Amino acid sequence: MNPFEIIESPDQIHLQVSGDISVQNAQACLEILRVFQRSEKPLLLDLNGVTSADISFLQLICSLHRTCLKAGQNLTISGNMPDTLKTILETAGYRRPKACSQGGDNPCLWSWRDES
Amino acid sequence: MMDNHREAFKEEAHELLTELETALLELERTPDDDEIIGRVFRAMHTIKGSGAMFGFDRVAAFTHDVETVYDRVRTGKISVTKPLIDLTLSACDEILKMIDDTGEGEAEDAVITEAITKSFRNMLTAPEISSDTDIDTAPSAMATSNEPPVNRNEITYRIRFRPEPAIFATGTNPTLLLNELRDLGPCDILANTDSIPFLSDVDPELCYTGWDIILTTTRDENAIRDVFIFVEDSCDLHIDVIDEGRMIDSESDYKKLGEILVERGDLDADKLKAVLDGQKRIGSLLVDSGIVSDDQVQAALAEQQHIREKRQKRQILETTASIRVPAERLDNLVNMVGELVTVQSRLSQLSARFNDLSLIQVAEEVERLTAELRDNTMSIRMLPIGATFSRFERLVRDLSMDLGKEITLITEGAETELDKTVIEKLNDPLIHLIRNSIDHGIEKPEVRMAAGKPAQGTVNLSAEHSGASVFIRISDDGAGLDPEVIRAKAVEKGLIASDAMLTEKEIYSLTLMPGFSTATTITNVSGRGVGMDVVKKSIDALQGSIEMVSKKGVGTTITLKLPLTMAIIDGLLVQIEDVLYIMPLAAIEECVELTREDVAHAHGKHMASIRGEIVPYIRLREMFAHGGATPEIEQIVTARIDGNRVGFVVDQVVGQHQTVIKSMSRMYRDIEHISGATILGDGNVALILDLCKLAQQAEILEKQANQE
Repeated sequence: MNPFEIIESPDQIHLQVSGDISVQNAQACLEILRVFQRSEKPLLLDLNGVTSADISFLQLICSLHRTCLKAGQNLTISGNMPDTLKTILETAGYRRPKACSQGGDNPCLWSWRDES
Repeated sequence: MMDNHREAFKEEAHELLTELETALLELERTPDDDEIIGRVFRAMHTIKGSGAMFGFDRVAAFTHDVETVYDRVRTGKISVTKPLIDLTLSACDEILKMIDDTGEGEAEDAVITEAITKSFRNMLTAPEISSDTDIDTAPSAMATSNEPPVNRNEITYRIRFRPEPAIFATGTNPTLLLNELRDLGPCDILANTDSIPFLSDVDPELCYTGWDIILTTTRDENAIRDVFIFVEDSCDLHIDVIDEGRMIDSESDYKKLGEILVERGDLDADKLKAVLDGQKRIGSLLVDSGIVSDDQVQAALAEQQHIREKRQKRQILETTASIRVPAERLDNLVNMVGELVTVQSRLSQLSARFNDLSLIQVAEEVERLTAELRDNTMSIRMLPIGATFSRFERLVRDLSMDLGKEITLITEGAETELDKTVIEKLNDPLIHLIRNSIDHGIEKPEVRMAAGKPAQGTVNLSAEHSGASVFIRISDDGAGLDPEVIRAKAVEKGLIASDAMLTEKEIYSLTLMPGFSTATTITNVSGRGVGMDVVKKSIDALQGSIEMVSKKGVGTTITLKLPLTMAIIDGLLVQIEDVLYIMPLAAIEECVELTREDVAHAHGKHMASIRGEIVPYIRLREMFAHGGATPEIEQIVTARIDGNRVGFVVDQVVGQHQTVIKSMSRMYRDIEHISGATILGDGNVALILDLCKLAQQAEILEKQANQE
């Protein structure tokens, strides 16, 4: 099963990522992200199907985000952040109180509100 | 000084052994529980280490083998079995003897300890452990455990971990290393992502992330380095201690400039806030000037937050931590509070007499403060009964084994607090009652099964507060009491007449009489007929009462009602002639007048009709041989004693009185109906009456009079 699938609609482009994403398929991931980022439509990233991910994947999404910010593109994560990914981000120290140095005044892509 | 430390060790060891015993009994039920195994090991380790430190070399040497065995248990090389628990419990008993060593029975003890040590050594079957060297090195050695050294204090480290970009190629997953760090203690981990390039330049197989980690742990730096042992050569690793776990020096943490200016009144707090809000924070200023990156600032902020939280927690812990105070000092404090209550009562009397408003105000304030001080002091003396309860688990276990019975002890309300004096004096009566339940109550498994009961019997021990009293219940699902057998035995022993009309409750209370025993065989557990009357005496001495409920074949419940405290009680001050007495208020129901007409109507009988109920009364004037004329109207103070209503006739009821109980000197110890004395506000002494004993004595006197 292809872990990366791009669905294009008239007003946005949607990238669905699913399954185990690691350094093993990082090259394929990079290639699809480059294709995805080249679109001029608003970019929607769906990570709900991710079952596991390592640092290489988190880095690539960060790279995509800062590339989009530089190009003035709109990149959002669709829906709520899946719990699996939240755990991965917290474990890896990627959850941060504010945006990284590349983010400027924009919120960090990985930010989410804790449910009380 | 060393003696003080030895005493402190003894106290600590007693507590540790009690905990250890509880843990061992839990472990017997759940032999695979790693947490309990850890508790047992740590307790043994502490006893050994502290024992050696304070010169208890025998304790240290003996405990060493036990500890070694439990180290093996921890690593799964030896499994928890019943014989191991038995042996460890015996070892606990021996350690206790060594700690309380009086020099008596030393030779006999040496044989037992040797046998136990031998059994433990037999368990150490692994070839690397030599039984010869173990004992010799025991007192000084803390190193038998394979654990890395552990610091007593929590230390906070700043760890900067920058893996080489090619680290993924070696198969290393940095997330796993971060998880290993988390196992060492609470961590704040922040990924530094500054170096991640844009998509056009990124190599997906390289690591661009570095980590700033703030870790608080009791482990030393080597334990942290061990986490990175396999990536040591392919990363940049810096570990710095940023907090050593000591209390912060308050002087170095002095207020900020703005706070001082506001405090001095030189600056308005709102204006300070407005200026600060309009000003950029140092982090932003540094990031704007390009000196540091935003990630670096965030990592520093995370460090600041982590340390602040740790220090706050530590401060809370250190300020709320308990301190150990000798019981003697506590008793002195209670005595002094008692004196204060007396003086306060005197002040209140004086202020009332002088009727001076300012003096009355001061007296009222002193009264309020004294009452608070008294309550607080009393609360310091309160201890949970749980420690006493846990001792009985061992008792039940050992006795049921001796008697070939299967018995479970269920305890409830271990957190119930009682005055320490009451708890201390409660131990023996409870032992008697539990022994009785096990020996006479719970049947043998085959008998139970034949009666359709589960083979395993249950003894339930519970405690609960109810107003100023505590109820302690010992119930069993055993054979129950047989009123006919008790009655027959009492007649046989001449305790009651063969035609005596007794209620079931009264029949049960016969078992509390001296020399009563229904056991046909005398065992070493109970059955000598000395237990229950001793229990009754002890509970009476605690101003408590005993109630028994039983159903043949179903079980027995014994309820002990005890006062919360024995040091200060609420009393009722009464007067006969010019002598004052105190009656414990807890037992008193009401006060009613007794006129000469009432006495005449009773035709010489000491009976009064109170709200339609005939209540026997005792004339204390006669009992205490007071001279003088009886007043026209006397007062009957009625009390509930062993479930019966009894009246005590006095001249006058003065009122309620906070009573600090002072024990009587040895010379007056034989006067049974006086339980103590108290000093009144005007310096006079009032005797505290033991209503229960008074009623008993009156009964005896009446019987004697009838016989004559």
